[in-house]
Amino acid sequence: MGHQIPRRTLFRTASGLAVAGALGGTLAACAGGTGAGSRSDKLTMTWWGSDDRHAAYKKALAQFREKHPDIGIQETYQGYDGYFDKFNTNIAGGSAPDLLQMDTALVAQYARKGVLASLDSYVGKSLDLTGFSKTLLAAGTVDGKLYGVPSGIGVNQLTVNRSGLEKLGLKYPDPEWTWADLRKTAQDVYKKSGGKTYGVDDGGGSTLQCFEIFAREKGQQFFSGDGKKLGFTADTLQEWWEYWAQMRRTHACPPPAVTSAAHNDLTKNAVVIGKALFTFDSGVYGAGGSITDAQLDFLPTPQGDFSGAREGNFVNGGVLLSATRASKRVAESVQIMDFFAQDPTAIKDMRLLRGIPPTQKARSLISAGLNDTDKRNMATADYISRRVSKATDALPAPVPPPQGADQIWDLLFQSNLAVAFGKKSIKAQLGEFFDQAAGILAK
Amino acid sequence: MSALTPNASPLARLRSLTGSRRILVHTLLVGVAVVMLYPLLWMLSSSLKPDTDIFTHPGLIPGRVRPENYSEGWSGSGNSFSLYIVNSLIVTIGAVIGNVVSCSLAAYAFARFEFRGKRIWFGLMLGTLMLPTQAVLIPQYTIFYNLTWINTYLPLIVPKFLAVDAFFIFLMVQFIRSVPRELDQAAMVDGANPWSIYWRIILPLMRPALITTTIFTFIWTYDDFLHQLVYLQQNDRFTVPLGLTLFLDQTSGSSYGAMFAMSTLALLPTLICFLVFQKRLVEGMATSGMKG
Amino acid sequence: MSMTTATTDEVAEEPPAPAAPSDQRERDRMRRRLARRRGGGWWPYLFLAPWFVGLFGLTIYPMLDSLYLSFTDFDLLTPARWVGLDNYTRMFADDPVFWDSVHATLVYVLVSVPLKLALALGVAMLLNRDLKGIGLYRAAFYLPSLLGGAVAVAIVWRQVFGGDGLFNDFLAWFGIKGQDWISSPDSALYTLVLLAVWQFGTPMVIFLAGLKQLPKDVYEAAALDGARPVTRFFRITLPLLTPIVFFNVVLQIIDAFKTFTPAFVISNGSGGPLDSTMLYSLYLYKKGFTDLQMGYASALAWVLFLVIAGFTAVNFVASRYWVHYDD
Repeated sequence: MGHQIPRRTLFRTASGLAVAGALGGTLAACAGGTGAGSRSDKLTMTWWGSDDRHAAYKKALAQFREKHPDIGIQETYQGYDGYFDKFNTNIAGGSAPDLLQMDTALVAQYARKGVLASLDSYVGKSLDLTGFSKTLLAAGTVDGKLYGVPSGIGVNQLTVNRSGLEKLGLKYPDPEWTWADLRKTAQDVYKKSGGKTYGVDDGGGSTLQCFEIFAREKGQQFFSGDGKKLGFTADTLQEWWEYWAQMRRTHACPPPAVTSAAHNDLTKNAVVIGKALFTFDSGVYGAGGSITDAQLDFLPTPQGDFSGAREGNFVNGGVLLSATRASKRVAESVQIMDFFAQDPTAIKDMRLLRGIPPTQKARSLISAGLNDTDKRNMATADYISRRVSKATDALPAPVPPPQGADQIWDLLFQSNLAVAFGKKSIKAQLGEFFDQAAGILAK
Repeated sequence: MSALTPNASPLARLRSLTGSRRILVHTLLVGVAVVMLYPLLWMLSSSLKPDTDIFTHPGLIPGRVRPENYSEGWSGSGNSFSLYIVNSLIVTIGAVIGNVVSCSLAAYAFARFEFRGKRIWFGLMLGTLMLPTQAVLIPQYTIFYNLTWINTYLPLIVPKFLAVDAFFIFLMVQFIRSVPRELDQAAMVDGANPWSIYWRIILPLMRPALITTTIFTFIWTYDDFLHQLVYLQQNDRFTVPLGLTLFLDQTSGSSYGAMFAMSTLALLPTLICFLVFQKRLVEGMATSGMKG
Repeated sequence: MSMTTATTDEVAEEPPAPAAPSDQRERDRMRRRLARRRGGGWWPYLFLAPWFVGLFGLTIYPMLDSLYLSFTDFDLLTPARWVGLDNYTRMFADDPVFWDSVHATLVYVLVSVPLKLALALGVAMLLNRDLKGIGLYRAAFYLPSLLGGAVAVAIVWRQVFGGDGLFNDFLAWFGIKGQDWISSPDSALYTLVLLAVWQFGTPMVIFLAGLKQLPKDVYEAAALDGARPVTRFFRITLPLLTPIVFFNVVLQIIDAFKTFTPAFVISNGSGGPLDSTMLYSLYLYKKGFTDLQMGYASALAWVLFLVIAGFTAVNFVASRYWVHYDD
């Protein structure tokens, strides 16, 4: 029995490592730092999407290569899962791509950390942004500088199960509807369906196309202009939560378990599983495809029915194309951005795969080849963007969200859920929400 | 020592159950197996449904059948899915060979030799298991980046030849330690050096552990997402887990049917690997009878 | 096997050296001495050479680097900044989610590991026989583990334990009205535990391999003595299997503490509802990669390291009293 499995070794190991750790600091000092650019001799470009978008990008890039045989492009693509994990690792490891598809929710964070290249010096020269509205470009603008070219317009709309409404004999709401109309319609859905279907998914915790709109109708932004504070008051949030508490009581929206299940999971969305007819989640209808066989239609977000209500909707930027600052090929990347922004063949290849195209010219180029639902989707977007541009009382489009924004959105969602599950009162949760939000934004 | 033929031994009689008990065992096994198989059946059924039905009609029997999921998933966007399977097999088989060779060498040293600082080394080895992968991902990436190994399979295969999977070393140590030491002592007296003892005695006797290592390395490498995601950049180097994400994008519409179809197909290599090697595990029974 | 040679050799060990030893005998004795010392000279280092290269070339530096980063503020995008113990004090004094994740992880480890191991051993015993089609049964039981953390598993799990799921249909037979288990903060963690238990294939295969390696003659003797199956299990099988049981206990605990993928896929990366499934590694990942606080995430990792090391050390100390080795 000579051999003994070591028993006290682990303690020794742990302390040994701690000593060695002091030396490790010097080793590690070089691990950080911004990316030094890629080592490839081609321009590296990366995006996320599903297979339709991949095919469209590749087709368009093939056209670009024909026109610019001097620019070699190495493209990589994947789904959204892990896309930014990989990007972060690449930057930390020193090998960022030259050109990438960027999320409007993250552009401010990367721009402020010095990861992205400012594009202003190219605008009007090699980067033609004719037809891009100022509010649209705001989606890629951080602290006054442009860091990304928007691929399309995103507007705030609800997705509606039109066939479900018709089956219950309910009238399709007017696009100029209010929050009170939404409540009434949603309650009707529950009654007419004999309690089988709720009206609308619980928006108490959803920020985008939902609470943010409500706050803007009250003349408040979600984040302050510098991104260091929340831009809305506790009263506004309280009113909002009370509205949704009443919605839950009257079964206008589903109980919290359904809401919780659908968090980050389209396949459990209330409209997809047939539990509701209206949803704030725009993902339920992806370009050209859907995971429900219901006939879908679209409606602008409801308007404020209180005195002094302003236009709350705004136009957002789809996804962005951004160049990295460490890249030595920013000028070439800009040529590719320009190609996707203005070239008719590229626009036709991309169709609605990166959102509804940003310019009037582009929209008319693709309108011929669209299916019915796509057309309705684009018509609603047109309707909203026209209304927004005509409105005199609308706040400027929101600034790109600051670092920590996704934590705040998550906090809002969880807070609403805590109220809905009855774990906290609205009053108590309000205090906690503002405390924690301040902590997150202060970092 | 008398030869043990399974058929003649009392043990064999113990194992051959009487009729009614056999039925009982079978019923029990079938019942549990159905519960275990449910998700596979659900995945198979979903792979045959149109996207619009998968989540709205989640039952096991598809209402409408759409075999095109398979052809569309297989041809994919740009690269055929077969490419990802081939790439995965390259990585996986390399990793299996690496782990079996390097971990058994290290395990033999830990189980059979005394040497300076052995306990510390052993503790260090276990220590490498205790830090979450996410925490060391970036420094690891830096190493491979400096070796210019990014976008190759080397970061996924070479570490296995350097026995970085402490799990398998520890596993094999435990197996070697239940091989009676008299066997290698006897061989040593017969003039065998440690290498030939490792090769001729230890390796054959720890076959169950080697097979287990093969099965697990194969499956875990085949399923590993994070490392393949980070190290493989170009799409023609992609492996199965990366290929599967190409179908899903919550922001622009996903092809769930094609994803389920390819998930089902992609399961075949691991299933075949398991079936083939678990059979070897059974055969191991007959040979290990000799060691008593 | 050369068992007989070995025994005679042991006997021959004692007598004094003959007056005129042949070279052969001298060499034999040297070898025996070597064997007794088990030093093996440079042999162990030769066998360990690949492992040493891996340890110093690939493993140690990332570990030390993460230790260093745990004392810094590091956002991945700009260079790390030394902050001393800030990350550690923040964790214990000023982070409620940290404590939520500690609580969830401890419950997860303490409930899932014993259940999983018991089931794995039970099924391994059941499958360790010559039965027609036994390979297919083994495959069926291993299948859930084969699927790992695939998207499909997550979707199925959410389907089965959802409000209209299979599990509630099953409860309805007994007149019980179920709830949505996945999305209720009181039960979500236990659906994760069930998932862990359901994927018991890894320890099961290891138990099977261990059972295959058991010497048969002991069973023969016991069978001839007329020992009953239960007695045989507790008197013979279990003691002989203890090295493998020990391995499974140690590794399953380490694994359970580090569990990431199931929590990630089942909660869609959120750790919800209400942080009830925020397992430690998931929280660490969120901090490091989503919130870009890699310094803090590294500190979390090293606290986990110490906790796991503690549990493992206790395991090794305790093993002295119950693990039986054959060497």
